[in-house]
Amino acid sequence: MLERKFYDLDVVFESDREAILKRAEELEISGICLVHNYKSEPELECYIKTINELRKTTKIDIISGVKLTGEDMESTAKKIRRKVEIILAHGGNYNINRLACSSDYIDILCHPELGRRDCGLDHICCKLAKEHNTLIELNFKEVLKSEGSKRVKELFLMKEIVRLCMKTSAPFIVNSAASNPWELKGGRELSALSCTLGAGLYPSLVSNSELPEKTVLENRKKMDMPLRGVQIKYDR
Amino acid sequence: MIDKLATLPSSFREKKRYVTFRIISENEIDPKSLIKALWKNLINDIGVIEVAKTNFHFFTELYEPSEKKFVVRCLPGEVEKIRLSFALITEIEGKPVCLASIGISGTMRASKKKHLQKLTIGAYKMGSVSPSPTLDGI
Repeated sequence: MLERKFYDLDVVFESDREAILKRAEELEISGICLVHNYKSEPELECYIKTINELRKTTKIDIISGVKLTGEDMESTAKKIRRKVEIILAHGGNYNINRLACSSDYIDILCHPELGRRDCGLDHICCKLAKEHNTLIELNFKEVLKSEGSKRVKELFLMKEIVRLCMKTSAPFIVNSAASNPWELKGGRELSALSCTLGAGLYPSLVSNSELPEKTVLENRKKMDMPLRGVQIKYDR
Repeated sequence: MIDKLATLPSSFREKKRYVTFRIISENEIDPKSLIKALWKNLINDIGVIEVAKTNFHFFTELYEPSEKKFVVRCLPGEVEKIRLSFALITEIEGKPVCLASIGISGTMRASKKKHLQKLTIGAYKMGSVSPSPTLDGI
């Protein structure tokens, strides 16, 4: 039977990693990105070492990822682009959202609606995101943790993001942002969120399986290049 | 005359989907509290009117607390709503839980065969179970 490979590209690194990996296996997730909040270079080196060790212990595809904050994120992203597979931007501010959408160095814009009364994106951002292949994240944890009218407002903002993304065909993804195993959800459950918000079944399945896989594979290919656009082929 | 409706022809009946879920939790969960949590969450998340439209039904007879699997019925267009609503359940009786869907089927029989049956290699050899669900299960 042909089965989809589901990915979750935002799981907190500073959590109970072993339990999360075990739960991810149980939920049949193909790959998870353990995201580290970038502070300094030595910490990043230590993080990459830990990720490499974790890869040996499990059959799940573990992806390295760094979350950047602040308006100078692009210069940091340029510096660390070849060290990690995924670079995420902590959204919420319009300037940051637009910067992340227009940057080739940033792969995912996380929760653009965080702490705002609007969805944090306009048609310009969405068009830029499409042009630069930046995935716009819908954060499942924001829905999971909110209650009552707050949950309604959060869902409304997410619906607006999905509507804009569908209109401009900008790529989007639903991530769990889990910090403990109980917050981790299966691939179909994550794509059910975008499907319910109006994306349609097929686009929502693709956004959680093929799109992240393609992004990760492309970035891995780029990491192996000695120079931009140069590939090494070995004769056997 | 007997006060009983005639059975509708199959083309007049509404299509249904049977969704099987797995409960990930540390302890066994009492059916009553499970049903209560499911209904509460459904009504909270998608509303009374929408739930009424989904033709939702929980099959109590198919739920075994030790197996941690249960089956619900809904309309084909409402499966994703049900899935999302159940994914948003974080705790039952104050204990943390995670609900994950195993699969969907069009009939109750297929649902039982595919997702609920305890499949053993012996049963497969004896021919009591058709090969496809066995391979699925393994």
